[in-house]
Amino acid sequence: MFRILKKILLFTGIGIFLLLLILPAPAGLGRPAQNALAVFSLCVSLWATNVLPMSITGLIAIAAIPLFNIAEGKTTFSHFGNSAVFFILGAFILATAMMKSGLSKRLAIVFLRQFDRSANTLAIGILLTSFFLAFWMPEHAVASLLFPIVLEISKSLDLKPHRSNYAKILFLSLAWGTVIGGVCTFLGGARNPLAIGMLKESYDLNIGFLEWMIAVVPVVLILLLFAYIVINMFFKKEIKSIDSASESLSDSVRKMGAFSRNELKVAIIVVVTIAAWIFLNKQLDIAVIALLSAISLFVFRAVTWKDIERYINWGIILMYGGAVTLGSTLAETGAMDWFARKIFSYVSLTPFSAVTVLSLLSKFMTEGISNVAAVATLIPLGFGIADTLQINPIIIVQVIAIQSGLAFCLPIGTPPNAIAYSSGYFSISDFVKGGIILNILAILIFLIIGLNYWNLIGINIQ
Amino acid sequence: MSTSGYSPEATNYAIRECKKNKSKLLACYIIDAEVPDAVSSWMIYVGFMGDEPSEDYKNVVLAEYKDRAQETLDEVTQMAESENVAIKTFILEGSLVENAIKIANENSADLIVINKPQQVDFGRLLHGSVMETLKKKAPCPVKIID
Repeated sequence: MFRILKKILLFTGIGIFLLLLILPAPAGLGRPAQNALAVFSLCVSLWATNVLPMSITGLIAIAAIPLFNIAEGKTTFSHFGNSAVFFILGAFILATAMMKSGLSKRLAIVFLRQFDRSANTLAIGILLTSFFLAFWMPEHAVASLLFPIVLEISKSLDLKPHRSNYAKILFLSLAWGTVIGGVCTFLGGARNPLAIGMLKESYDLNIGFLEWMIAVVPVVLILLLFAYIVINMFFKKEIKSIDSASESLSDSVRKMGAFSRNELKVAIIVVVTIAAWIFLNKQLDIAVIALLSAISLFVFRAVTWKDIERYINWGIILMYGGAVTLGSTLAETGAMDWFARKIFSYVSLTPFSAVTVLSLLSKFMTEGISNVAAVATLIPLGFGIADTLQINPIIIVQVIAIQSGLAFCLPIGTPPNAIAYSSGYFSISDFVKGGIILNILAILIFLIIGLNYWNLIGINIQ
Repeated sequence: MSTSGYSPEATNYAIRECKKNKSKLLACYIIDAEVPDAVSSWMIYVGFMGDEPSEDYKNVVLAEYKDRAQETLDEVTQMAESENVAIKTFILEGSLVENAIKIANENSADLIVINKPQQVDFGRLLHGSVMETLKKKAPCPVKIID
């Protein structure tokens, strides 16, 4: 079924691309803007179907813009040097240092040990540890880091795959805690800096590291509470004693040994970097701070270049650079504004209903395609809608980036879900039944509480 | 049996059939690496992680699957021996259908007993029902225990 859907999506995208290139441009839409829409259609279908690596689709976007006379090569390539791309680069190097030095594992186990008093507190501990770690590291790195720890806990408690409700609670807590935590900062998921990079390129507006956290964390905490309730509503734990799990955690601490010099170096650099992102936001671009942090790791010999090469897929630069370039070109040519005006000549929407529609679209897309692809696709459309309905583009960025990050239903929604699912302890139906409720709650919480709270802190919808 | 699921009902049925026909039980556990493979390459191409963390993750999952396979086969061996049924065990990695057919062919099996998978994985979503394919390609009858 998925294979057929994938083919339909791919051929529709290519079909629209060819049609838009051939057909004359309608009134109000220039040739460059129509070609930009054509390239957008092609890239969306390629990102959504993963027929080509996402990084290569990024390159297609960059090459196609001058090729189809949408913008000059010089202008196109200049968008590639967006600060979001360099921020992501620095943040990934920092995450690598945390993983390679063992600091992230130590943090996870030490944090988790504070909760090993009962079956209930241990499950809460996994939810909170994954949530908290995803503030500071990419969420898939957090999930793959915590996965062997949770697996060890499950084995020590002799939990049986598919049969143990407690194992389901632990692995769903790992997946959903990571997913929810990943939307809280710019580090959990690179889609947030991507969305902010597109905002900066299109409107010259910025959202700071702390500003984002102030806007998102309080609302997300409500969702985290609901995640705990939903997990425990569907799965009643069958065990009472977790003594063997506590022993297993103590063993892990013993095996890690004393805090190493390298861990100390990385810890200091991480703390200073985060403090700089929070307090020097006005003075220094977050990308500059990220790069200085990456440089410090090498200066103090906390990582080697070989480590970085083994831990990062450099395609990330091409994918993000391509997405920012395409988004900026769509904004500059006015293509998305025209498209949004066209939609609203048939449908009448208020700003609130437009935000609701974008939330739903983000949610649907992110369950089927990678959340980065969902952001790269929806932000240009959202900006077009924002211009037409006079909506604050910051609201658009927050809504799309957050909802695109919150995929709860399917393993293919996001890597943490897939990693937890591969444990074999639960089935897709276990995922879906709680995931649907959490998806609905995520939309309602952000539309009802989120928008009102953002209004209170000065981020108005219009 | 496979990483997609194991049911004692299917095992009991196979042991009863072997006892009735005085035949040998070939207990085969297939480790399906499709899910960790898919997740690992996904971490690289969608999550933009490097090879090392993706490989580490995959090794953890496969080691877990192998442990699980051995535990399950030990359990099945005990069940068969308590019924005086001769048993030979296999742990194989790869496609459930191909491996089941290979073992059936090599050992001239009279019947394949399989439990309906509890886990629908990426491959199954993409490639359709494993049970249907096995039924079509198997050299002997296939009994599916739900």
